[in-house]
Amino acid sequence: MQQPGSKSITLTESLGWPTEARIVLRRLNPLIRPGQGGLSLIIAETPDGKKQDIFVVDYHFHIWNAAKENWLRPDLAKGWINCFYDYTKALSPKEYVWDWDTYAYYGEEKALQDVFGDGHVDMAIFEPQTLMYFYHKGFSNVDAIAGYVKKWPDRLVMGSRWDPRDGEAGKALLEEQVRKFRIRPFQMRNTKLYTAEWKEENGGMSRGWRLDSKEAFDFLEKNRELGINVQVAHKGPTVWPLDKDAFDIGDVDTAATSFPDMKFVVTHIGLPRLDDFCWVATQDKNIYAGMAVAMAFVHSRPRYFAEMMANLLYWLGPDRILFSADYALWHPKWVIEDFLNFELPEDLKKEYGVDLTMEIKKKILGENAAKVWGIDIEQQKKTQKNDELSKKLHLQPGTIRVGEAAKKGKPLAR
Amino acid sequence: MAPDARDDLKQSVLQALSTVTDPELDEPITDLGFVKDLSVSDDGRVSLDLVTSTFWCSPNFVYMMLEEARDVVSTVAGISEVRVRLEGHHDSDRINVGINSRKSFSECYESEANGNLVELNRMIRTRALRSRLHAMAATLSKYGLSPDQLLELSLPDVSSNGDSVVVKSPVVTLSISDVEDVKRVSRYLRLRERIGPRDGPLVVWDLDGNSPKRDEFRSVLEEARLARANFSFNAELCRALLSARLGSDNPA
Repeated sequence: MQQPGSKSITLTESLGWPTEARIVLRRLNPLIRPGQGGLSLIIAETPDGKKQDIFVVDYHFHIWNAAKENWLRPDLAKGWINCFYDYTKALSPKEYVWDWDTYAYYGEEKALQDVFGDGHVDMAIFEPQTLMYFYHKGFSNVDAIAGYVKKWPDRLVMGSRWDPRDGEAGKALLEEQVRKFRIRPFQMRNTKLYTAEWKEENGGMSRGWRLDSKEAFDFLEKNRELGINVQVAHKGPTVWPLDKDAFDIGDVDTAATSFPDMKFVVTHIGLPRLDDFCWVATQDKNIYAGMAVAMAFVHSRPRYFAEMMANLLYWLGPDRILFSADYALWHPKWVIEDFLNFELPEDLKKEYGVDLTMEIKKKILGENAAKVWGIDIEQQKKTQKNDELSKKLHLQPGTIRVGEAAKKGKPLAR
Repeated sequence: MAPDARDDLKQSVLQALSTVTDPELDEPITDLGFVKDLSVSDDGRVSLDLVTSTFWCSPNFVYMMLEEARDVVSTVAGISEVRVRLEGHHDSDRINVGINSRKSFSECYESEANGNLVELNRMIRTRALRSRLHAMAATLSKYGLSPDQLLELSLPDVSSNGDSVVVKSPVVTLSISDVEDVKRVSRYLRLRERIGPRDGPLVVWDLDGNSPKRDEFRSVLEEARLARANFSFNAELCRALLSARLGSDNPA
């Protein structure tokens, strides 16, 4: 039964269909054409008739500016955004790949339309990545983010960043940001820690830092004092000193053990050290799996995605896995639809003794992050029902029928 | 040198390069598509152009891979000189100078590194060993071999000629001809042969040639399964990225 005023889309285009057919289907179906009013507070209906309302929280969202005018060191700035673009092209359905200029700087309006208007997301959490060595004004800087959050404080969640090399000035800035931007209980609760950030220091070059130094611990103390309890650790390819493994998450382990009251989300599930990540997360229950990047495998590499999900469910269980499409790397619309349609193959269910039910998907898509950030989902649903953004984007609750592909018995061949 | 002879020499160089793996992916650089260009001159001078899947690959692992590529090509009979050129990497210039002047990593990154890459190399190679151990164990278990039986085998009990694998011991005899299965077992054997005694146990789990005890083998295999999933996931991501990069319509 459809509820009055709700919309229904059938996702027969999910796994296994040729891309061309999917494009045609998207064009034919006016309900899923971008910009025509999207679905919020989605309800997933499985072939057995069961319905599950799903509140989507994306823990890792960006509005970046990599346009040429913002390039400080052109080789590095270009290398950065082109690498992102390759990630997008490598894993997106073709029809979701934009031209380069749009990709480099898409801006606030497009982001709102894509993520909330078309992308089924109910709340999105900013994770700034400043990269001041590469870009004049930073890649995604905190001031710009604050401007967006002030306009849409019930939808966009402000996160900041810190770096132990910034010293006392960095701590003072965090204090000021909490004072200015904790305009909802869940605002300014997280900081992104990009450990591969390059920085000129004492006339030399520092290509990264670790979370287990005394200076980093001082910052963690400051975060605790300010109620910034969610640390989103993100490893990159460089670190100091360069002969160490930049992706080693031993420092996150040390920090998580020393600050058991805080929560540590490891972005892209520790890849390329998924094995380390699972071991560490098994020991520290305050470590969470951030699915940014990993999530995008769901579409074109379902067998790899399945093995990764099986491992995460086996080692961490269903309560510490957080969804992200990592917009604008990937468009949340297809990521969420494919994930809702995704089923663990029987052989992996048997081998690992785990399942990925709709209840578990619901946790991963929103409930887990809501708990970490202290977001009251029922309250948010009421707040968001007729909020300004719903009006602006003509959002309506709607049903997504899932599991069609599974009914067809399509094998998830690698 | 006759063109045929030069082609043969080039083939030998490629053959040598196929033994070099990306340490973080445990797959040959030739399969990954990292060899962008290779030329061999009449007097045996090699010019090798390599590309990685991203602009940002970690300098330390890249250095390890390039050192190994340079060294294996140098040992090919008839090769007099090797020049390696890494393209499209954020530190290409520095790395190319370092590799071609045979500097160690810590000499190349004098002010930014505290030492060479011995420890890092051991860390990643140990994982590769365990990943291959899992692939071998999972394959043999399909043919009815239990983990306990596996522990009782010694290296000479298992042989591979590339087309088939034969297991022959007092407790079990079997022959495997499935192409993929043969590959999985052989990959472990090739690594195992370089580690530990040739008449020792088949199963070793570290680079010093130690074997797990019976009661810890199951958890070793569980850990190894995870290492294998990690390698396979990373390799697939790198293949996808490289193909996006080479088919690139990014601005020049």
